[in-house]
Amino acid sequence: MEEDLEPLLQSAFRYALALTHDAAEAQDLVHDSCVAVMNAGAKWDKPYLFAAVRNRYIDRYRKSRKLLFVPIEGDQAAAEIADEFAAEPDVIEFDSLHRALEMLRPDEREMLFLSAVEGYTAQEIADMTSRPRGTILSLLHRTKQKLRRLLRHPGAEARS
Amino acid sequence: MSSDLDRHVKEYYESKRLPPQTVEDLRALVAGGPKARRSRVVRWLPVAAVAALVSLAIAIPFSRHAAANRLSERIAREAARIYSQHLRVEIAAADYATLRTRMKSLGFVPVESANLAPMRMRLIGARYTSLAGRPAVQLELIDAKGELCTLIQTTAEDVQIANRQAQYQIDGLLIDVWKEKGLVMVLARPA
Repeated sequence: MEEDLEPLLQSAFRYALALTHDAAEAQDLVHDSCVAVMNAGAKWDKPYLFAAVRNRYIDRYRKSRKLLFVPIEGDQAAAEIADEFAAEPDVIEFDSLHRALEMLRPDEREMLFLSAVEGYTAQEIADMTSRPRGTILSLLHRTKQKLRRLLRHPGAEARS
Repeated sequence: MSSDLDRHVKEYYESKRLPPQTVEDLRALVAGGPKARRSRVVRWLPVAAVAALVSLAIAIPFSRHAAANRLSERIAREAARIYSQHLRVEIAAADYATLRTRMKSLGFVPVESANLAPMRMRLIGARYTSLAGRPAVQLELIDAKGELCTLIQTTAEDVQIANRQAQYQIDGLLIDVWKEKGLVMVLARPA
């Protein structure tokens, strides 16, 4: 298990980073999650550790009243204007992507991360996040549109 | 569908890594299990204990030193007040032998201080007084410049002042406090 631990920790860190968009907070989150997994005597696998990270994140930031996950129905306005700027920019700079990701909501980054980085299917993400598959597909679609828009027009949208 | 965007997002997140030290810390945490978390505290206990002992080793002498300084200063202020009263001598004497024969109710005998020898002071008499709440002798002396000086002596038993001579300037007077020959000695003279 020891040899396999680092890739698992790095994945958990990136997932935490997707949620928080802050390296220090992500490190704290991973640490707390490891402690939780250890105390629960659970096996060290990605689904369990990711669930621990997500739960710790919700617990922690619910208290600080940060906007976490909003109902997708509340995002209609953004969806309506999304297509206007839907074309992908020719070149994506690392810094631009960093700033654009910062403008996304945590649940948008989470969807994007789980899909694009971890390669989970919409159904798997739905199972992980306790949301309907259709909602995941819709959110993922809108998030990508929003991200393209932000990459093309960085000042076009304030963080919602 | 949006493979380029996905690729960029993937590259972005894959460039992010936990620092090696954090990975090691987490490895150690996981390897140790719940006991390891407790052992973090336990591991620091000896350090904390040593730190506490060192602090005490420093604080106690410092505290004693501070208390000794406070007592010396209090004695110096008391001597300054006694000097300023300019009370008359009760026993006129030009030498300590006379005082020793005539002042027998002190519980100690007045002695000549070696510290005063270089000052070439001349004894003119003495009177009973008290210092720090105990019987004392107030010796009246004249220094080489003809100035009246007061040397107060009392027993040093249980008087916790520094052995090193301390000097104060109080109300225009120069006050020296020291221990010598088992006595506390306080010399008050014009500054």
